[in-house]
Amino acid sequence: MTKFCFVIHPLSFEDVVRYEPGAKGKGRPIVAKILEWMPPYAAAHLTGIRTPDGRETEGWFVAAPLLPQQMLELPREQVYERIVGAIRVGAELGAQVAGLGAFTGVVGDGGVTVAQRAPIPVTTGNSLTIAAGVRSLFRGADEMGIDAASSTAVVVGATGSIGAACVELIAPRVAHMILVARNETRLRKFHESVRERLPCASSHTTAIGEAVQRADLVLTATSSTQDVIEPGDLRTGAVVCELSLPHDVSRRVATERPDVLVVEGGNMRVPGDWRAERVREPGTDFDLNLPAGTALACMSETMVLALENRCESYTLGRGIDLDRVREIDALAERDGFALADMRAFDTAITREHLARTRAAAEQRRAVSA
Amino acid sequence: MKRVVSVSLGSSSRDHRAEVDLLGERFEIARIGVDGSIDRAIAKIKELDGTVDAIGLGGIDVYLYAGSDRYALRDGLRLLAAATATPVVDGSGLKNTLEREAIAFLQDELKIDLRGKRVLMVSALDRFGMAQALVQAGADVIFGDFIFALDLDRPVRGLDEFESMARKYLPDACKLPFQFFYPTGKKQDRAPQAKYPEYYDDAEIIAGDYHFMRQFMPERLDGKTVITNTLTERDIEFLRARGIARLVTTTPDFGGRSFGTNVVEAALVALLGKAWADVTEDDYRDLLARLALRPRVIALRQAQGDGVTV
Repeated sequence: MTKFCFVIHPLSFEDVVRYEPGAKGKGRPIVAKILEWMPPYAAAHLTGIRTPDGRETEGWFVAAPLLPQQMLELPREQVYERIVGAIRVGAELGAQVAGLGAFTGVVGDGGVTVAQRAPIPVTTGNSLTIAAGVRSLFRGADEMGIDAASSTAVVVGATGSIGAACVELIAPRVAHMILVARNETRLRKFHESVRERLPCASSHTTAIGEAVQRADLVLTATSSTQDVIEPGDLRTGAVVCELSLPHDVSRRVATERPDVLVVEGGNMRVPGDWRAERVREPGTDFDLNLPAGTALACMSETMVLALENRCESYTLGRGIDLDRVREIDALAERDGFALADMRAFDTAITREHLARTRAAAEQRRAVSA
Repeated sequence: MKRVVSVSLGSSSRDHRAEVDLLGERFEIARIGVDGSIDRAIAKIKELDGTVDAIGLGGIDVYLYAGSDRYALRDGLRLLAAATATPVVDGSGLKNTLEREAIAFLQDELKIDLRGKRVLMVSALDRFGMAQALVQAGADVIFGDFIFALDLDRPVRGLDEFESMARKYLPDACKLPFQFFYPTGKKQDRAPQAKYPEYYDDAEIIAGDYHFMRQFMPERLDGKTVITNTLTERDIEFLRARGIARLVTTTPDFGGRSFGTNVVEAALVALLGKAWADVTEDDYRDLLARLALRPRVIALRQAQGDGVTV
């Protein structure tokens, strides 16, 4: 059996408290200080991942316990050391391939340096994240009754590695594509480089709000630690797929825009009867803040590589190979991974929720017509 | 001859030995660095226990003060407990007297008007006496403890606010390993990495622990005054190269360098022949007066403003 490990870290102070309730009520700066010093460790043991044809894998969540801000601001070498240290912990436990979660795949050069220093192959998991994100976006479009072929889609964070790949995968299925990013020069250059290839009309802009107002479908993939999409930005009945952690869409959208469908794009149902058990308290489940049986797509990519015995640095760096996205998507499907039930703002999207959203969109359209 | 040893968590590259006369008594004073290892420090203290007259703890504090509150560091207490026969001191008792007097000396002898002077006290918890004296002298003091030790960009500007922040953070912080907050061992030899340079830039006087201030120092500090102690010749050259105009070390020169407060306190406790806990502020004050210890003032560049030359 080929085993894997996946590097995790807290995305917020609340994450730290969920894992370690003793941190509650302590001064945040003190907790941050402790994290700054904390060595990597194995946080959870993952078992029961089984394909329909009976292949199995197991693995570990290994923690490089730094907060997003620390990942971005501490000296680069110190952060690399922590991430590589976490992978070493996993390798000592028997992992043969490692995945990089959240900011550990963003720091520096998107995993390239980490992979050079790690004892086993490393993947960012971005290929399957992209495949799952695009699938989620179009599933949302179906649910909202949007005719994708005549729609306008926006990718926010289009010049990022995930965003850029999403642009190419979405374009063949829509009528118009708007590319959005913060850096005008990079955005223009990127658009020039892909414009010819895109089988639909396309444009670009740095004005997020303006672009989003024109879109039926929105995919966001920025590394921003703040909200980038506000309730007022969205078109009636729009579908927004979030691929980034921390989230890009303001939580206010949940209450102020009942007519808009927001979905977290990167969640997958893992085949088998898998669980994540805390290493320090055996018998206790590790709370991933996701429904049972589901994992993030980037984690799933690492699991698929282990199940397929493909111990290679599958996805690394800024450029994404679309053939690899398609390949891992197919492998995941074969291994029994599927899009998880729709979810947004940490809660499940029920059939009733969908019906209400469609009705609210109809009503709003009727009012403005 | 009395023997005083300072066991320091600092780098062993700063080790030093000197012989001095204090009130007619001959002293051998030595510093032994353990390169950041608390375990080695404990072993060293156990080894010295009963064989020397007093032990000073360098590179770590046992007690931190904020107003009338005293906070004990867990690691510091472990070191104190390592000796049973010989008194072990951390310099905090003496700091409270000596460093207050250093501020008085600046005003009275050097005629430096501290009113309205912008002072960055990089850490005040380990030198509360100095911080208080600066505030009382009318200086505009920023307490940098929380900014630099906890990375909390919150300049504290008053004694009351400082004490309430201390009450909030210290009980937890004191339980953490000392290295979390203070550069020990090899870190003392590492090149500084500027952090929150705006506070350094804005200050006219930078006061506090030398290693602590050094680790976050920006490239240029032209024309500023530094108030600190325990400096080697290399440290003085380092400060000169960054443009510091004037240096005041609160502890006196013993055999060519200023020893840490812990060493001086250990020597005084050895002179008194008392247990550390029984020594009073008056004991220190009395001895300091008899020793006529004075701060050392070094003009590194032509100072701007007061034009003090020494």
